[in-house]
Amino acid sequence: MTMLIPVLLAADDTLAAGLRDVLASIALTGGLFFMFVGAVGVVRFPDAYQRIHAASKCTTLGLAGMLIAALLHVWTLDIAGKAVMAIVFTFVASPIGSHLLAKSAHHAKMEQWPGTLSDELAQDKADPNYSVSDDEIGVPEGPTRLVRGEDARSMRVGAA
Amino acid sequence: MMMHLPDHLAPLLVASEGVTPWTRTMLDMIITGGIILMSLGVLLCMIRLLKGPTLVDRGLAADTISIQIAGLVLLLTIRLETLVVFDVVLVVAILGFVSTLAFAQYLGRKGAAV
Repeated sequence: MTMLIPVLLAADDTLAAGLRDVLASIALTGGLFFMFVGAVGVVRFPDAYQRIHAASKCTTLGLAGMLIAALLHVWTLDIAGKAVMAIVFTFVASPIGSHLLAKSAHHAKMEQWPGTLSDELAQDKADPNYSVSDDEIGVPEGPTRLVRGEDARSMRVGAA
Repeated sequence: MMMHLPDHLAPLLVASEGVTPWTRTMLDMIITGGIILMSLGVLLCMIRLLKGPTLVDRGLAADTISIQIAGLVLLLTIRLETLVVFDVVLVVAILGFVSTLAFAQYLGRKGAAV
């Protein structure tokens, strides 16, 4: 480590760009690895739920690594703002999309891989105390009813 | 400003005008490999899109393809060192998210989506 200190002190633009390029190469390699692994998982996994799992890895870690690489290499304030915005957006949006997709797949009673060990959502749906029925997952028919106060509290799981 | 460096570290500072630094060469090689790798990923997702047994698989494969295309645009940004195409990444990410939401909503309304 002490060898690096004079290098960092003497860093002119060329050397700083070189160091940033090394870091960008590492981040880019990681991002590419996750992207490719996600694509392979989408093809190879035996089950729709496992494919969703693979695809969400590809979105978050792969795109974040590649965005960090672009930020380190180009190194301007414009790309910093946009890259941070894109990273935050994908980290929020990708789990939401995967969750909704998996929920609608489960709602459609898609078959699971035979080795699947547990299905807690099916157990919850079979439970009469569970507050969300099958019909409320899609667009409900008829006017929606707002539940407030004591009603909402009594509808909580396990309260009845 | 140039401070004194030990002799064994001097070659780090040599890279200057007219000479491509080795770090840049390494990054270029990784980008070239990455373009091949992600095109392969798009092809793999295309296989799942074509043969996927259910609608969920197709929607998932389309979402993954959009993310891979955003990654390809990012590689183009790094290679060209310009911000002109970087906005495409944001637009594709947002479009992929919204289309996934709409697709899940459609499947939930349709009920038996298999």
